[in-house]
Amino acid sequence: MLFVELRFFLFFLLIFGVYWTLRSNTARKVWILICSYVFYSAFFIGVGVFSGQPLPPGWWFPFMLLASTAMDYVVGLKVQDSDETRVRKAWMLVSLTINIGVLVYFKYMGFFLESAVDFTHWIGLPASPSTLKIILPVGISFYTFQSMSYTIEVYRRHRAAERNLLNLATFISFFPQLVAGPIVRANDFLPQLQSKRSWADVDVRGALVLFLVGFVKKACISDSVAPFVDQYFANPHGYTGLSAIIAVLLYAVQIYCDFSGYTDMAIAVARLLGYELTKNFDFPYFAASSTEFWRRWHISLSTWLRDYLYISLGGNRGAKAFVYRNLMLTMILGGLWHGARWTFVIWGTLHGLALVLHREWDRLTSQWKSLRQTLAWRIFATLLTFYFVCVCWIFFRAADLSKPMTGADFERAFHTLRGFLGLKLHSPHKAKSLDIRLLYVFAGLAFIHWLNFRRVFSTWWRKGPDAIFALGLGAAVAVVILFIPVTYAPFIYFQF
Amino acid sequence: MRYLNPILCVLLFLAGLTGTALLINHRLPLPEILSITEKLHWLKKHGDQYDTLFIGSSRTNRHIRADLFDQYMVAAGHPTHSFNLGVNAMRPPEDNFILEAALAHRQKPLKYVIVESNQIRLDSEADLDATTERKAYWLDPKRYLVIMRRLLEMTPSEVPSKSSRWGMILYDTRRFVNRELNLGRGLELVNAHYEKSPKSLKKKFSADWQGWEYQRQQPIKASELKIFNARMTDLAQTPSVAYLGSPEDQRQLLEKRRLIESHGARMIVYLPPLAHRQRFTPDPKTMGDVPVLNFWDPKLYPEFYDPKLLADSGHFNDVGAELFTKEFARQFLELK
Repeated sequence: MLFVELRFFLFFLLIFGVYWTLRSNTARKVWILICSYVFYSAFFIGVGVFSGQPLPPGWWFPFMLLASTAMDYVVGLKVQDSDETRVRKAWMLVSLTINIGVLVYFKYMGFFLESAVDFTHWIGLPASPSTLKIILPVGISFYTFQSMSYTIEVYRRHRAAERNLLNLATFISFFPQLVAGPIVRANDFLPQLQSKRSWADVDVRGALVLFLVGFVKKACISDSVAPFVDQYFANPHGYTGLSAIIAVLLYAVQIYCDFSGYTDMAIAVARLLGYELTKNFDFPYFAASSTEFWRRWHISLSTWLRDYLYISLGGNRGAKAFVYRNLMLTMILGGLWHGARWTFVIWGTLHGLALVLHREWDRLTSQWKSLRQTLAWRIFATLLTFYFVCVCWIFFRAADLSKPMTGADFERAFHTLRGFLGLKLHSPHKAKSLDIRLLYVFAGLAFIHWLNFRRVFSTWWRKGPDAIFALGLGAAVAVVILFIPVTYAPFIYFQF
Repeated sequence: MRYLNPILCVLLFLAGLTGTALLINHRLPLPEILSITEKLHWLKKHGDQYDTLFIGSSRTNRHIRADLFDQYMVAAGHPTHSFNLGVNAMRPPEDNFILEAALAHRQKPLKYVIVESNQIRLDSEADLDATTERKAYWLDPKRYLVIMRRLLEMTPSEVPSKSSRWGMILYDTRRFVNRELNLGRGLELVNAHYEKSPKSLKKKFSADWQGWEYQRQQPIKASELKIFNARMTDLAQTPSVAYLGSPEDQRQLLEKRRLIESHGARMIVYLPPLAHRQRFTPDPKTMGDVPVLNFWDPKLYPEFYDPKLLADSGHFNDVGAELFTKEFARQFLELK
């Protein structure tokens, strides 16, 4: 069930109507919990089961979510109730081992086996090319990270263990952010569950506009450019060098609009129920450095990696080489979080290297502060950062996640990279090319995005009476519907 | 009073949505649909040169050669200039929509409109996805009500095996809402703004184009022949019976008649030669004075049931079409 589907709107209307009619906070949380599990189950179990069709392979995944919640509930209490560091640590390791174990099994087992087979084959030993056929449960990377953050926070004594199982279960399974984030912290969300939400505090206008913006990003922009990107990446060798540039730029648009669009809708849906989720994007393509990019892109993941991985590895403490090692490890693992592919490892490594280089650059040019504050410098640095991010996106997109990992992923990546860097001057005879007018589309979208970055659209719709707002929103929705492609592509981040 | 503001806002939201959608709908061109758009654009531009129209499904489109028909009429001293508005798989209420659109721009009166006798098309979701999504253009409020009335008066035996009445109602409602809200048609609006003539008009037709299409003579496929023979065996055991269909089927014929007569023309209904048991015919109570040309009888017209003249189990090849047009013209002249 996608946020852009009609059935989600009907589902949400039901949730919304019943939720605000219920008077007790507990009843509301029970209702949210039931709906979250129904929402999650809808990804695996279709309506066919009601007409006697057999259960699909992933029918038991919602039970896995339930088991993960129960385990973290018990571990949280055990960690809380013990005064002995050794015992507390042991319980926390139980939680981490199980959570990471589940993640590794579903997400990385195939990758490790394939890599081991490739390696044994490479050193000349006989190797069986058989691979495991494991279905990846939607949202597993998100909810396991969320559960782990809870256990670690309790272990670090940053928060008390949650004694109310209903609260913890609602926190882990809260449907707006369950399958594609943002990765919400226990400290941010659990306190919101303690008290009854008040309708008077809900920013209805803000939520509706945010939902519409997210919808436009996903359904109108991302899904409209996706066919061009897919067309190119299906066979990069058959396209001209200029097409590589167009395809990569469009992919930068697609992935941003897809993911940030989903996040906007998730935040808006939660907001309409009275809850506030973490901000996940803050105009990342206007970042003037790699470091800044990671403060603006997938904020909930980058801060998670910073707080629970980078700092655990030692963070900024120690020698420079040690700090850089921590940075590289964090980014490589961040790349692997997206999927078990070497192309994701390269993507993470490139970003790690960029962070290291930026630190060095910062140190070496610290005396040029006044130059670095000029507008011209800022523009140059922003364009350079965007260019670098696009180069990294090539590796991110090159993997065909629907197929097993092969050398074709790298071929696609390096071929596109040559085209994007302007090194593919001679195109093969009869090479196809993407429509050059797509560059105007890109420029138009970039301009609108810049206006939004300058906050041109941020407040005017808040002025005026509700009646005018409602009328205008209706008209805006009618225009948006015009530009929805008739079929929807699944959200990119559902695969991670 | 507490709920007054939210209710008012919801109503205003819906008003803004539907109002804007209607405005946009008014500005949108007819979608490009193979063979339909080109015929409608052609008639919009050249419609007044024709005085006779044929309308119906592929049976009309491929079986009636408008040029031959006109030749026979000239030879008999009753000249006509006809256009074949038949469209593959077109049945009521789509043909009513097409007829309205085709007649909307006429300045001169018509002489005849020859209508193929057909019942309302009821599609299950599976049928539509496999064949046509044409409802995107013709399922306007008027046609939606027709479909809804027909679905509600449908007998249990008429419900397609893989569907349900409510499933079909929901499916058509969804298609109707999509159409009215102009789902995914933004690019057409943009293109219409920049392109002076739509694709269908860029296609070259000779000045005397008369809309018909024919299938070259070639041996009918064994699988199609098997279907045809089975139907013929069935028909030999139980001859076909006249069938009045549902009240809504008859209302569609009546609506056509009103429209045709409002343009000063005479309506003539015809039943194509088919090897089916039930032949849908106009109700004599309401349409008694409308002439009906009935070719649906293997005993009376054995030549139209000869496999040599068939392109598939339900259509003539070009030789069959010529023969049928000749016989059609002969009977048509007898009416006069």
